[in-house]
Amino acid sequence: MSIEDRVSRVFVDGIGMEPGEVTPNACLKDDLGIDSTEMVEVVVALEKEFGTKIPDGIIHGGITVRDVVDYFGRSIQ
Amino acid sequence: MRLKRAVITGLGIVSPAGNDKDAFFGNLIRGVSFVREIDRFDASRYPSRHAGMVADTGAEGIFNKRLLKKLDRFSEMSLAAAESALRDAGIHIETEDRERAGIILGNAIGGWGFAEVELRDLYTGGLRDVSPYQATAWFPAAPQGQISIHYGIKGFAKTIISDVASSHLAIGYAARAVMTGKADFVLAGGAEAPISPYALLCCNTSGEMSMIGGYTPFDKRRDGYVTGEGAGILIVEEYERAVDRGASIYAEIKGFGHTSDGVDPVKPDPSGVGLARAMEGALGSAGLVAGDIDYLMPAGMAGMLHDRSESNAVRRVFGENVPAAGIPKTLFGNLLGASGALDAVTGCMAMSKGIAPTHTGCASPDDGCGWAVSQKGLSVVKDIRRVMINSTGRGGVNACIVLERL
Repeated sequence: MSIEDRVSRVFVDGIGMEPGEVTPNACLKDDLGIDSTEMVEVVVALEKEFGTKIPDGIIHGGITVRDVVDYFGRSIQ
Repeated sequence: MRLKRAVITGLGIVSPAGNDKDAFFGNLIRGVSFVREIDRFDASRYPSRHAGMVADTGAEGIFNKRLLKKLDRFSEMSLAAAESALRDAGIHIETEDRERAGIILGNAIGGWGFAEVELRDLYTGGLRDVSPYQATAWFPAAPQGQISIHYGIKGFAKTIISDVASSHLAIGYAARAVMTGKADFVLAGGAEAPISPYALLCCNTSGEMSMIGGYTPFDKRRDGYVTGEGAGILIVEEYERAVDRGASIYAEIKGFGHTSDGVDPVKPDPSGVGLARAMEGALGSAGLVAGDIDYLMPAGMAGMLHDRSESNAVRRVFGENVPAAGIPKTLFGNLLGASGALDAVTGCMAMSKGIAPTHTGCASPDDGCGWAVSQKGLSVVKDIRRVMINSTGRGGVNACIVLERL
């Protein structure tokens, strides 16, 4: 499964978003409506999916789904 | 200040006896029992293991799963009941001045079903295994907040925690908020979700629940109440506004009384004086006398001391002329902090349909009660104009409301 698919799975199956919402250019806060509490859930779910601790400040409301995918692309390599 | 009038224009419920108000009321009229052995988890070792359970809250078809996964069951049921109440009242919230809309809800125990799982995860997995929604899911004001957020309601709001009297007080104080002009309309009522392993255990350890699984207040064999889960929300609206928009009006909240016994941290005053003062206060604020009441809905807590206290109160207020009475919650369980809201819905429906559910669960009255309701068969058709509803909570909280059909 690609990184894109794994990230999408976290947002859809883990967080409960609709598949159509989770597009590469979607901003986590402005487009997906993720607030500070839900951001905690997102970070923990991503850490479990990728088996890695995400440093503070990497995942926040101002980034897009593509930014999340790119981060894990870099960190996994 | 000239007080306005507060009327009920919408009813919304989630209950063991149905989520549709007409189906719910029909079940009460027919005397159908929804109390059964708990099968949601293994309750076989609990002394009291019978309850009224909600099969489907109905929330999944209305609210998205992204929201619902953040909620305890008592908030989920509150949202579903709020949606039903607004629809029933014909209120389109997006067209309202939402700073003039209020929310006053009650519950007794908060959101334990959600919290129990998170506590398990805390002790087995550690801090990061605890849901970030724990902070907003469990606390007693969660239903008020979730309704406020979902509908964008920004007016006068409170959560009242007063044991079994909680939603009763919420309705009474919602009426006062409308009467004093604090809000044009208020979503008032409450929710309770006690059918989870820890919450049920807490209810059990109170010693006030039935171990034989029967809810029979005022009966010599009764040994406590049977609990249940659900939510009830009423739209309490300013009378002239309701008339102007052509709303159907179920009843006016005519009287409200609220007193404390000041006797014992848990038990009621055996004399029933405190409850009688609440009942007299409700009659007085309504400008009515005892003989004006057509239908009485007792608190019916089904403990010996509670029943004898309440029967003394009833005798003090009504003398020998006690009106027809019913305790239909014996059919689906005592919803604790939400019980008053379900009783108010039942009272509204009784006046609307002209039929009073007279099921009481009492077949052999306790001789120690000065007055004891007995099972007089199933519902009788009556022209019901005024309903009195009692609630009593631990700590000696007494509440009474009087509803009047217009």
